[in-house]
Amino acid sequence: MAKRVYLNLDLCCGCKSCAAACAYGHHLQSLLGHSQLTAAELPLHCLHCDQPACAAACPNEAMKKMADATVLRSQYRCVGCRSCSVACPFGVIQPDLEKHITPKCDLCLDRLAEGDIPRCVATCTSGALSFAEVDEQVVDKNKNLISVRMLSNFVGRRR
Amino acid sequence: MIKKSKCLFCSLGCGVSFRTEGDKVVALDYDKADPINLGALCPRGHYNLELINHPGRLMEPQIGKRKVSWEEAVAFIRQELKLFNKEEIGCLVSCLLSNESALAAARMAQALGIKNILTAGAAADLEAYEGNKWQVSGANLATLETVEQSEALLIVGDLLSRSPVLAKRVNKVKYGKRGNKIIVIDPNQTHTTWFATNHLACKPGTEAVVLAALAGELPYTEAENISGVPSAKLQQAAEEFRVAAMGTVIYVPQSKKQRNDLGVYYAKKLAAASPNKGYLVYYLFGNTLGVNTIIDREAPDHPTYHELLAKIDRGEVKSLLMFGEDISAGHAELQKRFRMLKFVVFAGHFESESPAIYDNSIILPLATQFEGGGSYLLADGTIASCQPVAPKVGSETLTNICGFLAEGRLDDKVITDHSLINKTKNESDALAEVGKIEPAEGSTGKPITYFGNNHLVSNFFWYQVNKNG
Repeated sequence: MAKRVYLNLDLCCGCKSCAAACAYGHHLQSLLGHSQLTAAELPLHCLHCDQPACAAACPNEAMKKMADATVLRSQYRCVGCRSCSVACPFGVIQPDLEKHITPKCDLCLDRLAEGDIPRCVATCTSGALSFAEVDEQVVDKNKNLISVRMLSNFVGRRR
Repeated sequence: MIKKSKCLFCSLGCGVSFRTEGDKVVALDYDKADPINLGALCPRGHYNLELINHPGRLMEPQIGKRKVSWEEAVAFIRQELKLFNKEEIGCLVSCLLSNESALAAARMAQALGIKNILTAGAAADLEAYEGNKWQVSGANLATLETVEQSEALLIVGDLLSRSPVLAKRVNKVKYGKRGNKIIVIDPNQTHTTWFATNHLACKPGTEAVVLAALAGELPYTEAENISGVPSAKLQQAAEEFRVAAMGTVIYVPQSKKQRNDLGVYYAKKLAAASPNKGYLVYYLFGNTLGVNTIIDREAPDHPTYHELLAKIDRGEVKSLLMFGEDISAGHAELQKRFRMLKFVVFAGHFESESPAIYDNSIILPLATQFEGGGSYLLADGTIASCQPVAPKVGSETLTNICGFLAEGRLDDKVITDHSLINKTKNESDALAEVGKIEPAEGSTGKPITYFGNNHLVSNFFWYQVNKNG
């Protein structure tokens, strides 16, 4: 199972530094959405699904499932039609209406190539984000523990 | 290549590291080996990259809007300053400058005979610094290790909006051991109260009263009348904090709190009341502690900010030197008085936001700590030193600028004494004052990119994205 970004909601303090780090790493365009609720400010990470609905909905093949199991968006093919943000079941693809693009997490490919972790995980102030292989058994075993209540234990699985 | 330096945007002193290509800083790096932040950076910490590379940075000195050379600018300032009496010149030193810069400014003031030298920063910070000077025997400054090992944390104010990097430590206390307590005193539901095991929601502005009650200096019933926190809850919180094997009081000076000085004083009292407790004060501006200590030591009888304003009103101060930032941009009361000033020198990183400054002033580009280096005093009393990571392009450090202005009459003194300045306080006076605090109107929390009155940050991208959120 490939490594993914996991969020532990109990530790998150809502400081949005993951989104800031994303913006400063991607030409001032944050690829990471945040929930717009004042009661809960949590980052909405792309889950890089096994069967991505965004890629199925894309009319121009801009969203593609790569060989290393990440879902990437080609900025040259993207026409800004927002089909992917409608198709995404988790609402993590949020279109930028001013710039006419739909930014989408690329797991910081440049840093992964150097053997490093994504920027949002490196900068997380509370230790809520982790970049790990979490296999289903571990998640199920710890499901009832408050401190390992991962957002990911019900999403992004192979059917 | 990776170069390491320090972030000056709050008094926590996180390490920031940069990826450089030749002379150019290209990206931020996250240094996991740093003992303070363990690689984490808050949104404000990300501004550091832009601070070096920002296209709006000042590159050349300006007289009005005309760009001039350094020689011409310095000659012009020297010639203009000679037209004023020494009493007619005021000097404001920003709390974001390094220890060396503050010392250079103080020595320049001594060499030129300027008496009106004072610090400018967040009003709440300066008030809290005054409170920090009151001596309380037995109150010790805590370190980050003691925060981590604490069994009870008492947080006054919205700590995790001020310094989110401490969230890892707060989480360690919260989930580290069964029975650990996190007591938060704040009128609002904030990022910090999410983690509280015991949230004392007092009326806005009455945090000092609650602290006085917890420290056993004010009866619980009286504190209940003023702050609105039930006395049973106060008693429970005081007991929880007292019995903990190790504890830390963390005070966050904020403008919505009334009497930050009394708040810090009672935080120290509370830390001294039971064994193995410490206190910490996290200031908004990085070197509030260092700059204030140096100016207090070098110019012991300097006026306060309001005395300076009164002097400008009376026409006793006609010229102003502003070092570090354009203080008038964030302080409307100073900006209003600009037309009463005949000559202004402003040394800063960015062009000023206040339009009045271009009429009668000189603007000097100032090097940041990433170009000039320097040391500063952190909240826990340790000294952090920054190494230069980028070349100075057109800008100069304040040490050099002050050397020019004093015509080379500065001695190269090095700061060796970093101890805090203490003054004794008559306790019955403080008790009488804390009883007089009245709750303020309802106040709202500030966003995480909030930076007080400092308009420096409005130049940064992430501030503009998030200023409303």
